[in-house]
Amino acid sequence: MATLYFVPDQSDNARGKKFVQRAPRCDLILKVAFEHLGQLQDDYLTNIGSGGIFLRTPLPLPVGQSLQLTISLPTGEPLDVEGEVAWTSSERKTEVQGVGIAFRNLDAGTKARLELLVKARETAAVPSKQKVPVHLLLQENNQILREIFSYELYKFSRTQGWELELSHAENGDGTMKLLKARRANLAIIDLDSVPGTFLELVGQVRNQSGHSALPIVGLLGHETPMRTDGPLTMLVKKPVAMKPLLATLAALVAARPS
Amino acid sequence: MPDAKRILILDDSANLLALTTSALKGSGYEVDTAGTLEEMSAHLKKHKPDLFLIDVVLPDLYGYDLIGYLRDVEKVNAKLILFSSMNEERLRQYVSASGADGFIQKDQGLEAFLEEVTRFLSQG
Repeated sequence: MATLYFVPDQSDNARGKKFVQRAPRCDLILKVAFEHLGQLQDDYLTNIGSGGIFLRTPLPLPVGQSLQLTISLPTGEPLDVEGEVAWTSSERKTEVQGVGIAFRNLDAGTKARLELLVKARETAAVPSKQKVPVHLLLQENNQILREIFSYELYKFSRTQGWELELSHAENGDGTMKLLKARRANLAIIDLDSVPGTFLELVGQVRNQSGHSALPIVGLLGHETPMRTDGPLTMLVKKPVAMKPLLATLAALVAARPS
Repeated sequence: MPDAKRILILDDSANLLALTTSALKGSGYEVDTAGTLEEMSAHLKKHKPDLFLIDVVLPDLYGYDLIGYLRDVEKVNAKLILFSSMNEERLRQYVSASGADGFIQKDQGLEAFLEEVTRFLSQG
């Protein structure tokens, strides 16, 4: 049985760039077989849609390389697709090793099957309840922490019936660009990533990005003097305990005006 | 001659890392140490540990909140052991809630520490 888990956001959003729409995807772990340099390889995809996959692999597959993939679907049957490496984790300097693969020459039937797979996973998580759309912005300049938070947020979102969209920024500039381009419901900002100026950033978010009432949870190192100024909705001292943080986020989402 | 078991330790205390590394290497283990999450991730890319000692109180988050990420995202198959001077009852709760494989208390002396490490490594 396929397992759902988070895949790090490897899209342009992770680099603080303009939000880019693409075919819907879902988090899924599925085995993928392909040939590389004459040898059969087995790796895993962690994210799939009708446009492509993220293949988690340590192999140095170059951009442009064509691959014949056999994906083991949750039903057990194999799906043969042609793909091309569209980007690599090394060029994007991400910590998670792998490649983004764009599907090529998909026939209508295969495309439909993939779209159905994504739709089935979306509705399977909350079959009888309408999902709550949540767009959360996470500003965190530590790549590993970003991955960990994202993993926990996606996992949590399924228990809450959220349709979670997670945007990443590494710094204040990235945050402001994302917020000006796209409406967010909630923000988590690691205030240690903007030392000395975090209140200024929060003020900018409130006054210049069109998000005057955005719930903002600030994460702050335990060595930093505690600030209880108004702009933040909540201040969480590090080390961050996930369970209380997630409960806080759930309460903030539940409290927002419908 | 069988390969030595490899142990990864994540702890932000340089003194503790030095002390435990010395004891573990003296017992024939290969040891990697990480003071930060980035160092941890770099080690995991290079070597698969057999046992991973994780400090509970880290600067940014709690070690027990790493367990799911390590299993699902980093695909770590090693024994994941919480490493702390907290009391036994609390550590048991953290192990139970997080899915870690066990805990070792820091303040029990090196001999007991090494015995615990050996015990976890000998488990299936």
